[in-house]
Amino acid sequence: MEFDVELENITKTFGDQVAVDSISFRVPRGSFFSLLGPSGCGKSTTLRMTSGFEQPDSGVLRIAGEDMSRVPPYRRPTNMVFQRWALFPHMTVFENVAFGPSTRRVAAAERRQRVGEALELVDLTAFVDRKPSQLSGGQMQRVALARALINRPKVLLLDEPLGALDLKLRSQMQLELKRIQKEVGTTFIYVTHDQGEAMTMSDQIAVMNDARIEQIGSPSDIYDRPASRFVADFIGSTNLLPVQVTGCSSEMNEVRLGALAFAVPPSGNVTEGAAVMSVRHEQVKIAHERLDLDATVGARVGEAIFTGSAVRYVLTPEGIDSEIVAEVPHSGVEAQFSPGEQVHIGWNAAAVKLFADG
Amino acid sequence: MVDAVATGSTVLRPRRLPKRRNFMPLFLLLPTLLLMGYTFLAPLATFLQFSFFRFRKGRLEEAFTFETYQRFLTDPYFHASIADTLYMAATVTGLSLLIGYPLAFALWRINRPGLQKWLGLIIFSPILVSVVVRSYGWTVLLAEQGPVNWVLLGLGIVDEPVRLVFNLTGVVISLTHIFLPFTVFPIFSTMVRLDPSLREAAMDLGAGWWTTFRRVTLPLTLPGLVAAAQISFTLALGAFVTPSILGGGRVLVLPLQVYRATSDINWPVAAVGGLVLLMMAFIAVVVFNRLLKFSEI
Ligand SMILES: Nc1ncnc2c1ncn2[C@@H]1O[C@H](COP(=O)(O)OP(=O)(O)OP(=O)(O)O)[C@@H](O)[C@H]1O
Ligand SMILES: [Mg+2]
Repeated sequence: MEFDVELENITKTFGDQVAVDSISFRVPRGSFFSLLGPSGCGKSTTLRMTSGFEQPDSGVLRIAGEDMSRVPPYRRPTNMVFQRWALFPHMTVFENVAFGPSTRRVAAAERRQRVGEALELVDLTAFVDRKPSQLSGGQMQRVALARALINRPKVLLLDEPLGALDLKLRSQMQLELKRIQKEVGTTFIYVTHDQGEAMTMSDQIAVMNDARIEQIGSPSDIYDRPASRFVADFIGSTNLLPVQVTGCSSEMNEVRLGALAFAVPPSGNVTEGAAVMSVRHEQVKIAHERLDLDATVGARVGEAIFTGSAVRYVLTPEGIDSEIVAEVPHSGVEAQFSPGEQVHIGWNAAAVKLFADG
Repeated sequence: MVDAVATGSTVLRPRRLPKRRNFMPLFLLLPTLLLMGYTFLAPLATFLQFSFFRFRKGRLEEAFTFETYQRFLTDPYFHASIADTLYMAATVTGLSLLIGYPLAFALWRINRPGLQKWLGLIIFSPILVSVVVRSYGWTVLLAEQGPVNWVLLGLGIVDEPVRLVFNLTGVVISLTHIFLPFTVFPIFSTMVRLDPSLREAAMDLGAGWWTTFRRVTLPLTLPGLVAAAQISFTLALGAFVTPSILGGGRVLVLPLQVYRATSDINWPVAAVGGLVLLMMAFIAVVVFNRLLKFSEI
């Protein structure tokens, strides 16, 4: 497999603030790669080092196999879509999109043809003569995309390009971006703090936290097999419960959650003693009658929260100190539970992940 | 039929809110309006009146004549004076922009806050000293035995001292210095308002330093440049102290003509000179405002 972008032990500090702490990853050619993490974790800094706007303090950065340490931004085979798009306000859509080819001395006739193609790709041919101030947010976003893609970069870098759009337009643009990426076959590196966005579009996701990468994997890897407590908590919604591991073997871990004891498949570096277990909201089953699951317990319904596609129940289980949340898809046929009601809840061992405490 | 229309219209007519005039802004403007009326409009009216009087053999005659206007239009002496004034204002403006833009750029790009503060203070310093002091300072600096000539001679750039003072050159140099804060800061303020990601975007799209400057930074800071030109041009038109001190009686720009006429009690020439100056300033403001609108996106 060929890699378009490779980072090896890249570190960047601003004063005494470590923005990126020895991160490494490789992005396969033609793939859609996301950097996902909470605000301030170093996503933008990573992207800006790839584009050349920031220099790493140490480490090696290669694009298409070439070391980039001495290559200025204007000579890198990358292009960037900025967070607020950074369209040139004094130029028309045409001039904005033609900017890249004109600095690279592409002949006028070819330039015009390429601008036409690029605008067609983003479905904006009708707007060539408008100024950015005469466009909507979604249209500006498309111009920024066309302006970057027209240069046929090896790697397209996108820094939360959908952050300023409304929810509806966002999900529409997510599909559109994915379509365009497939159509042009360019490697995309996409920065976002929205896990849904990363899940929808990416081939691979690197989850970042506090200047480090916590896990790299496909969306389903990250969702189903979170490598750390942070990833389990950040992606999707999960119950994180303090437990005691009472027995460790290669086949099973014995776990005690309050009065409830059950066995789960072994995972990672858990040892006997205090640990944290994660069970996703939608993996917690709820019923009036006793459930036939690996771990079951009686509980009282505290609150029922209707979210449209699902109902979320906050439950107080018997003999367990923490509250547990269960999410049930809402289709109108499932049994409803009301606050104060006594119910049974439970989950399967396979749905439980254990993490060392801390 | 008529009835139906009438009822229809009463139904459809939107309910009018009782009209309430807001007198507050007018009230707040009152002191300014009074002051302007007393110190600007009233003298202007007097000026207009005086401009039609006749001045003969050192005596003022209260008449109604276009004689002075005619003289301004036909007399080569006054033509030269008007031309000198415009020429001086234009050179000062050109020089101010030529020096002010790079200075503003430097002030903007310096990323050491301490140095930036000091440079800002140096640019601002002409305002802190009186015009008279500054102008006398320049006569010393630019004199034939002054430091500037000493350096030029020492470096072998010239063989004999250059006449830098008591002529237009000295006036232009000094005025440019005095107007520096008024040219640098409008330009600087458009620069700091520039979104830094625009320059990054240009660089990302393959533009080197010069292309980024020419195609992004310069066009987007043009409004500041035009504003700076407008300020220095109109200020130069009305400059009086500097031309009178550094001109050494040889630079007879309009404000000096007006002053000279008033000391001769030649009110008609002073009035017409003042009105011509006002007209020039007015035209300049209009032209620059047009340019400003054009330079903005
Ligand atoms: N130019 C800079 N000077 C000083 N500190 C900086 C600079 N750029 C980033 N930082 C710091 O580095 C850290 C990482 O910043 P970065 O912009 O990469 O975060 P991010 O993950 O993109 O966050 P967000 O989602 O909010 O955009 C932050 O703590 C930030 O304060
Ligand atoms: Mg960011």
